[in-house]
Amino acid sequence: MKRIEFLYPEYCFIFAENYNVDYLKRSSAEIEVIETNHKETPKFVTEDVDMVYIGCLTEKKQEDVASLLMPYKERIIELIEKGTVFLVTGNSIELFGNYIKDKERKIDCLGIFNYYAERYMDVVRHNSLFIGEFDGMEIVGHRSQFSFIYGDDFKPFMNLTKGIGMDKKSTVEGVHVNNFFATYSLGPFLVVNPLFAKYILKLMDIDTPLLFEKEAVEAYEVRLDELKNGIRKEAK
Amino acid sequence: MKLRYYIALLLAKMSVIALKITKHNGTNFPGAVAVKICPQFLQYADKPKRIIGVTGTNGKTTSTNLICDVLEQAGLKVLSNRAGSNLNSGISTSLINGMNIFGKQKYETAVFEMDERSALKLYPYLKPDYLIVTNLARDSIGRNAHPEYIFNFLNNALKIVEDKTTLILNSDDPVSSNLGKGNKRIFMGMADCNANPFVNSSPDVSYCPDCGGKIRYNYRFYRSIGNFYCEDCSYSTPEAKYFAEDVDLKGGKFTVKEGDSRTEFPLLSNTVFNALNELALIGLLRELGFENEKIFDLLSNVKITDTRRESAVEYNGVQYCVYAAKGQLASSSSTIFEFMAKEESVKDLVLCMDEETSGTHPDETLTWMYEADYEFLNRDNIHKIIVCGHMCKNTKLRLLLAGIPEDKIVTVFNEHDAKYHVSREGIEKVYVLNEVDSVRRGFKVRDEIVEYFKGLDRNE
Ligand SMILES: [Zn+2]
Repeated sequence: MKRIEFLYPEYCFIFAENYNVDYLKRSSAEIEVIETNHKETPKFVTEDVDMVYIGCLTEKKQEDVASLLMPYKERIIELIEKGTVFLVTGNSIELFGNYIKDKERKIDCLGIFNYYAERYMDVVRHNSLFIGEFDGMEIVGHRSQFSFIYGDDFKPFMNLTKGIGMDKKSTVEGVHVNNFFATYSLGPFLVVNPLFAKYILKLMDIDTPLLFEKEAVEAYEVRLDELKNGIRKEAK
Repeated sequence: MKLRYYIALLLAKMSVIALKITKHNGTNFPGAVAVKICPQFLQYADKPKRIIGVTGTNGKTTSTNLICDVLEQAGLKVLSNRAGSNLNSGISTSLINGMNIFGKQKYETAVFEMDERSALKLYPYLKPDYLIVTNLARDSIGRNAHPEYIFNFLNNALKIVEDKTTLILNSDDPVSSNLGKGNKRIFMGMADCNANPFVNSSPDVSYCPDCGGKIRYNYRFYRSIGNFYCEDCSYSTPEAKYFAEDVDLKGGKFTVKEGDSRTEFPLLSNTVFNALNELALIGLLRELGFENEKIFDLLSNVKITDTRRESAVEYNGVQYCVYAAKGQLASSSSTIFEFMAKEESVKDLVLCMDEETSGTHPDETLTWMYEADYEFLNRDNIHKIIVCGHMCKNTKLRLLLAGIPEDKIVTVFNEHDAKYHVSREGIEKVYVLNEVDSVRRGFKVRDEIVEYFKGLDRNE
């Protein structure tokens, strides 16, 4: 069995992020999902798991989770170096940088990667879609956020061909080191990006088709085409 | 500074006259002009002595209309923004309409629907005497982020009017019942009425704001609204000053307990959602000093408008209905899917819930589709689902993941092709669910279906 640890599901699925883990599980009978709530010590601390997933949080819970994960910083680094798969989506990406700035407040984060985030809670929320390239794949992203990441001392997940990156001037998005992947993209990232979902499964040595793979790829292709060429009234 | 205000008022008043001459009513233009010229317009404007605000994710408009109707029924002259927007410009327009040319306010009472995100632009200047908060739920991700964000936003705005604004709160909402701890608060609560709501896969709230523990329920009304408690601490439904009991949705009556007194009132609608809206109204009226007998009389003479947002025509024994839905909004979409499942007739659904494709570039963040409970549509009485519009392939994938058999799903990029796929046999109803902002689109699709079938019958 391959084990995916879904961290703090009670906090980390404000935009249906649970579908990322569900989709993998429903695609392969080999996958077991461990849900770890905020009162429990994560499984990855004492045991090896095959994948760790953490999703989007409210601003308050993001701060709580930063404190919750802090004691496990060294272990997380060890797992990343070992090649454990990590998928981090939404504003959880900020937890792996140095800190989050919110006006005069500075919220300490894990400091595994050399960047910081800044929140602009009084400003209109930023919403946009993007297309990124990773390993010959095109990736579709959805973002809706109050904060941006600054710094360029990290290895990005994708080079963007459309939309904005880590901050409004950036053309790269996310973080990728070994099998650690983080992106600002919200919601059911793997359902929207079936090619990348397959890539993640392969990293765990699972080589089965995705659930409704044909339909998922078709939906992805339409979405990608729309983002590139605009909305069509008729099918291609 | 005040000079700017008078110029703004004068120009706004002139624009009202111009709009009347050109027969453009119900617009926010005068207020928008006034705010543009004098950003502090709301601060300086002469306001009615008594202001009642209504805010919350769902039910604002229904509640505002209901309160206006009842207060007018009671003989009051009520100023309201029911014809305009719930933003600064819409409320400014109402105030301008209520003022004479010298800027003197003619109304003593106002009822304003207030957009949540506009709280900081509205509360400090309007200083509402009463603010009804219907509920706080999942809303537009792009504008309102998540319920906790809106909660914090409203809570900060309420601190500014702590000594002025009395809150009328739904004690069974784990989010909004926690608002305004520094304000005077009146809680409205309700006994279990066997509403049997479905369970939402993405609830509006799942953990306690105080300790992060799991929120549980003794009973629920809809979504996250219900008699709640935290698994780990004392956070729970606050004690209600006005508590509805013996709620008989079918029989159309409920009893409101206040201290030792119990009064029966007619229910204006058979939905639990509107029973809660009506309860808030009763609480407001009691706080305004109305006697229970008077309230009973007033409620006997009003109607809740537009509750089902449904319009039907019949052809060959099948009902063809248009039903307004809010696409891109998980909470209201789920509520409609639940209605479609519970409404027993065997039906085809035509989903026209895409963003309006006026522009050519997509801007829809499709997370809502996965927060919404398409699973509710996996029922025997949902015969076929025809998905229209440019998102149809993505919706189809969502429906498949929700467990709906593939042979029940049809996708058409062009909504005008929906008519070729609607069933002619084995169904009692067809529901066209259209985006609420493009009502005409829904009617057009529905009428095309009926006309197409009539044409087929003529040619037979
Ligand atoms: Zn608690």
